[in-house]
Amino acid sequence: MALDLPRRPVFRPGVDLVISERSADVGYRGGGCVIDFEDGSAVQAGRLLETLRSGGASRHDLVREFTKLPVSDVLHQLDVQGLLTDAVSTAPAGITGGQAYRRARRCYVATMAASGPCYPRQLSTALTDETVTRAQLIGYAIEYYHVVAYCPRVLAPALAHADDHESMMLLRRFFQSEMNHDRMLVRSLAAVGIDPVKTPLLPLPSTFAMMASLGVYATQFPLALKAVLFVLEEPQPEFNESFIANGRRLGLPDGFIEPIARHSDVNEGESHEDISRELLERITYVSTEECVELEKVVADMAEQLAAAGQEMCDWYGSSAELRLRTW
Amino acid sequence: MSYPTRPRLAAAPPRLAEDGIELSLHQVEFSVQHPRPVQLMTMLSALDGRTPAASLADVSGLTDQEVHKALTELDGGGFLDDPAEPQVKAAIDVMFGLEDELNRLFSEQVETSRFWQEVTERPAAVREHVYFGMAIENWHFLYREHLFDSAVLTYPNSRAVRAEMNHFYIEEHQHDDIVLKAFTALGITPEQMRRARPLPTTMALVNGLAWWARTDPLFFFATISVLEGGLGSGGDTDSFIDACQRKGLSTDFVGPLQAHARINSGHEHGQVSREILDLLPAVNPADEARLAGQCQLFMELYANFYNGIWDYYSQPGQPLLRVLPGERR
Repeated sequence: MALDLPRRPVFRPGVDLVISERSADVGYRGGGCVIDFEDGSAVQAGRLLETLRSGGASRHDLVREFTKLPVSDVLHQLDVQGLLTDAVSTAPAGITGGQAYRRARRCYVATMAASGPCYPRQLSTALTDETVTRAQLIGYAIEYYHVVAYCPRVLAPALAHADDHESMMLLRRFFQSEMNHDRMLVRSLAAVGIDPVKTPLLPLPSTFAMMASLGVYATQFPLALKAVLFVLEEPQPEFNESFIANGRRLGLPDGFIEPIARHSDVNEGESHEDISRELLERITYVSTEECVELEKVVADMAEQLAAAGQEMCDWYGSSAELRLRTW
Repeated sequence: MSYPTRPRLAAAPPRLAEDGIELSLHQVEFSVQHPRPVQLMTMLSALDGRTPAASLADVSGLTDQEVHKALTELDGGGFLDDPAEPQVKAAIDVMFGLEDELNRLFSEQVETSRFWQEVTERPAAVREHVYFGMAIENWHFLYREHLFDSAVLTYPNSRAVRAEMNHFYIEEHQHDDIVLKAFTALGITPEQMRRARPLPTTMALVNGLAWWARTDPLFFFATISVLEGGLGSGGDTDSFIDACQRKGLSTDFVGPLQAHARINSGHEHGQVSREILDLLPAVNPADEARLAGQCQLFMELYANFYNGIWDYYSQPGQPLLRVLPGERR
């Protein structure tokens, strides 16, 4: 890449410039250099250095004005000595982290609303209609187990990223609060004779995709992780109430239902859905490109969530027998 | 949620209907009931991104409490935007500031290191092993360059930076193989080099960079130019090659090092940090403070790389290759 930096060169604050007829002494931090002028261009050389002291002119302006001088070479030599900086650039376009959160949230709502026709068979609908089967309820618990069991693995890389102290603490508290939730789900599944530790189970592709996405963002794109966390933490009180009611209707044991109900209460009691807002509000600046990427990440997660609702409905609803995804 | 200080209505202009106020957002209609709909309409009309939230009560005739409640609910429902322009510095301005700090630290810690003082001022008096050791540790560094570069090839925050870093890595890839040829002159095979261990000061630099690349890519970007020799590295001279030649080392050893230096010179990698930061729009103030603060630590690791070479390879009796305990050299 051909560089034209600094674009509007100016001596760094603190550069000491003494210009005489035949030479100039440029001092900085106890070092610097003496520049000897050539006979035919001494006046221009002095004026070029004066111009660099006040700044404001572009490289192009300097080349055009000081025709007797190898301006690019002179600038390069001064630059190598660490004597030049650039005039302050104009403020870049972007938005605050708080506004990025507003846009991300709006994007989530719009995507969820639009995903209905693409994923018409939803577990939530089957719950409301009371057409949900025993296998589907257990299937939901299995997928829920996968989510909470994956959580520490996928979130942990986020704790490594450099950030301000309060943001790191917010993420750490969130991580801690998500720890060991798989134990509750293990208890639920044990009540229906399933031990996902002894008999490893595969998640559905959409469940895995959500967890893989979180893991990738936590590792490589912490800004996106912050923006997307709320999608999986949205309270769903009606879903939970309906899950419990249908569980009782289908005669599932209390040992299965209660840990799931309790886990939902835990998450909602801790205001987990606020995590994205709290994290993003701490960010002063989000670039236009970053914001678009965040919105894409949030929209994708919303669609994965909708896909998961349908996939659970389909896989576990395709037969009366529970289709365990063993390997 | 704290609503914007100068809120802007994200929805289409509201309509006053018989049974309430209608708001439309993304083709979804919402109806808002309020005991004083006319005043609420006035308030909604004043959500233009310029009127301060604090003056909306005066503008609309609603009470402060009513305004607060309405704004909180509107923002919670996704109806408000915050048009505030973030007050941040351009990323390239931040980079020029970091460069100044890095230049200062480099002159204080690296230029004045025993290694560089001896090699540039008394090259003939320096033991051959110091030159060989520098090449060996440099090879260990290049051999592990993927450990840090790989982490930023995915940089998701900027397409342009990602493209530039991938281009940079393509130019850097397999540079270790060029330098590797120099060791044939010392009777060291490639296999022996790959089994050998770098100095702990070399590994500290390698893994320090790999950590930053993974957890603080902005800072990693800022260090690349220093590692690549800085802005002055694009010319025909290379201080270490000059010293090797003044020492009278064999061309079989110096040749591959020179070939590597020439390739680097042609790529102008000493300017990469500027190029990358110039591709980014801005740096958050908290990030800027962290980047500036870490320069000292980076330069200590970098100076230790050279100090480690001097301390080990200038000592008579130290084997050139460091191997695992019990392994034959």
